[in-house]
Amino acid sequence: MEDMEQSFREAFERHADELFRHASFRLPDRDRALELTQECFLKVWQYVQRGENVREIRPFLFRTLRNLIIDEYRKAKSFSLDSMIEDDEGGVIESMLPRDDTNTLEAAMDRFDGARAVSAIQKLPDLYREVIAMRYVDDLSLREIAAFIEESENVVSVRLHRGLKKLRALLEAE
Amino acid sequence: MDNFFSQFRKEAQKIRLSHKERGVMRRTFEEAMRSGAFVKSPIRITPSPYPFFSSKLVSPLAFILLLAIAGGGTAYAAEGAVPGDTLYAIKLKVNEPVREALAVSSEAKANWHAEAAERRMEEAEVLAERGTLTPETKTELEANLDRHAAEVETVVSVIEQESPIVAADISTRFGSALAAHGAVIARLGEEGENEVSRHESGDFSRALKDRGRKIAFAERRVSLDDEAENTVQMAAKLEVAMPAPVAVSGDREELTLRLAKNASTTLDEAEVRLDSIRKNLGVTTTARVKAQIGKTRNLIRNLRGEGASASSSKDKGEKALKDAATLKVFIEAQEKFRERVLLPAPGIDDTSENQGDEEENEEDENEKEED
Repeated sequence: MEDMEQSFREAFERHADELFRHASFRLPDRDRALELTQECFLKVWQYVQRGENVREIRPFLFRTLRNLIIDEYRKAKSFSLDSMIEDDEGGVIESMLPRDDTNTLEAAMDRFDGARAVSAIQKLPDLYREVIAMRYVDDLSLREIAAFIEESENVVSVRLHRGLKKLRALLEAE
Repeated sequence: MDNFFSQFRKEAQKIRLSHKERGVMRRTFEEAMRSGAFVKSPIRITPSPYPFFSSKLVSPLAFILLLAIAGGGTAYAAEGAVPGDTLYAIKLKVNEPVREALAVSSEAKANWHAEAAERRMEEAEVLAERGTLTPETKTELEANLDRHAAEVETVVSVIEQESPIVAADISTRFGSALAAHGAVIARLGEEGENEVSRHESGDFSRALKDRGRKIAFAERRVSLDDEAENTVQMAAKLEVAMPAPVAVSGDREELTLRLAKNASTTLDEAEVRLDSIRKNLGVTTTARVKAQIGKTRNLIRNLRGEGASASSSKDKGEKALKDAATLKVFIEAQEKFRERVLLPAPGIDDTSENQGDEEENEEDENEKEED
């Protein structure tokens, strides 16, 4: 038990910032991000305490945080309508779309100020914020993202591409 | 290539937990690990770390304001500002009034003002360390600190009648924090090269220690005096604060346990911090600090063991909390000011045997009474 507590403390020291960062990208305010980060650690601790086995802590923490965020959007209908709704081309059709030129688009983003994008991204629907944060902030690979959000890599790729396009439009409009 | 994304990532990296937030989270977390129970609403375990979390009670305007500034990035950045920084005005004029407005209950208010006062002291630490504490800045910090300290005292005196234990707990914690930060500032300031700053740091530190003592002393006089049990007159005087004299001993026990619990939580935090900076400390220093922590733990254990209702137990509880707070503040400061030597914290016994502790404690208390 002592060992478990110690390794859990380490996990907290190591991952608290990145989880909080991810939560900050997904939620409308800092306080909520703080609460969910804390709740995420407590949930995982309770899980471990029940004697369940966690093989890799980081993905597990991220998955837990993701579930909490989903709950959050479900609970708070008021912002879910605006933020969570997929746009008219979203949903199932995505998986049927061909993989596209995300790399070219990534290169084309260079003329914008990346620092400004951090605040602009808050205006995107959460659907896109999620993948953009995972890819470009948390540094996860397409495959990892796909595993987290339980979609195919193709869907992730398409969603990223759309998200970036929307982000670009936002930055252009500024 | 990838310019945009590296800028983006760099900016995003700035979003992180503040020192304070991390501390609060760690504490909640330690508590949850200790209690072992399922904790439904984690945030409320600790006494109101973020008074504004209870959004239902919050005035809508203040809430909107908070969202507006929390979204801005500037407000985050301002959190770390010290007097003289461009963002300091934002920290003081925007962030803090919002936090203040959002603390609704009396306890939350007292906690917030205590935290605000602590923020002033932390700023003074940074300036003392840099050797840039000027008379003007010191006056400014002191004035602000005075205001918050006075608010804490006001709230404490208001809630004293309703809940003497909460009141005593808050003032003991606050008094300990003042004294501990005072000691850190003294330590950081005394080696400074700039004479003005050295002088101001000394001044500031003395004022803090005085105030800390006064708060602890005022608390002792008003609420749970030992003599109240024995002296009818005293009981009569205290009737407002203590509806039934019988309650005194039970209250004292509850207070002692609460003090012991707080001391133990504080020590846990201190220990975790110590672990994380251990590699930068010498072996001897680490051992001495460990010994200090061990001693304080012993004190707490004795308190719990020997029955918290013994008449000297409250003083011991206060001592335990004071020592724990000193250790924590010193370890945190050591973490922040890596190149300085702050540990082991002064005024706490670090010999491995636990004998002289009690006499020492009593001497301390006597000194306070004389003041």
